[in-house]
Amino acid sequence: MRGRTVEVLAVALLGLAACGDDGGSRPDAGGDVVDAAPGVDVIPDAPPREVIMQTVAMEVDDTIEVGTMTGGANDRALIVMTAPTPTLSFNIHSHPSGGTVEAVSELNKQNVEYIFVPPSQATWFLLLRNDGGTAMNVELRVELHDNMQWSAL
Amino acid sequence: MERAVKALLVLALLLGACTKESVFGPPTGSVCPDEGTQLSYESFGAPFMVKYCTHCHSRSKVGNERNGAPSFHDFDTLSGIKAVHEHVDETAAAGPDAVNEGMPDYKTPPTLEERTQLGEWIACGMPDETDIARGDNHGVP
Repeated sequence: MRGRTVEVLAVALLGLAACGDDGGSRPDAGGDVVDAAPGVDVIPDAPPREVIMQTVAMEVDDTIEVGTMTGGANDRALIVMTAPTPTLSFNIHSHPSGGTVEAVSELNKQNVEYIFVPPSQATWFLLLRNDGGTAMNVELRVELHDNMQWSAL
Repeated sequence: MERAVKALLVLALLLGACTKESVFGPPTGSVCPDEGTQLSYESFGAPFMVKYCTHCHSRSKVGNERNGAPSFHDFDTLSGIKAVHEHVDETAAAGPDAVNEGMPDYKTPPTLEERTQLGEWIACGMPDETDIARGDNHGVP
């Protein structure tokens, strides 16, 4: 009887362990936050396959989904953004399996140089937000490497 | 053998309990009426969001106050809704192709009529009163 109980408990513990969070949580974010695969968050020497350049006009409090990047752990994008004031916030996330996975969320930046390596194969949404008190134009440059695909929204 | 079956049943129960259910459904297929919509951000969109969404999906909410709402998914501004409107349609709206009830996670959810109105308002481009006054209430061309 005791042996059987121990066996069932062991299976139960195993099952609960399988429920573990896959990325922890940020205090200001509800979605799971995941890190890029270690050692791959560098831009290769080869020139980008494609470069997207765009001026994003943002009113006060604007949140704009500027585009999506589709790729996986072997793909990379260099995202460069310049704002006139340190009031640019941005977020990259995806919605796999009906949930939300947040790759990055940064607040109140003026100059951004971010190497995005998707933690998993998915379509990743790039959102910008103007957290300042005046309208502004954000200069956006996205350099696509490997097989990363860009789709403007 | 019996032991193994019991153990498997316990495991299945536990795994079932921790599976995250998707809040997303398919696009509702809502279509903007030919004459456009009279639902505006002021008369419908904002009150709907205040009633059902901004308790969690608000820029003023942080940490546990968000109850799991992802950051940058805030519906206390029109642009915040527009930025992720396809996901709003797929989680909370109703139309000819789907009735999506993944959100909100409330004891008193929106009625079918409210969800259908949400689908129409989104399909019509989420106009505000100014848009409607100038006839810009027929959706994105």
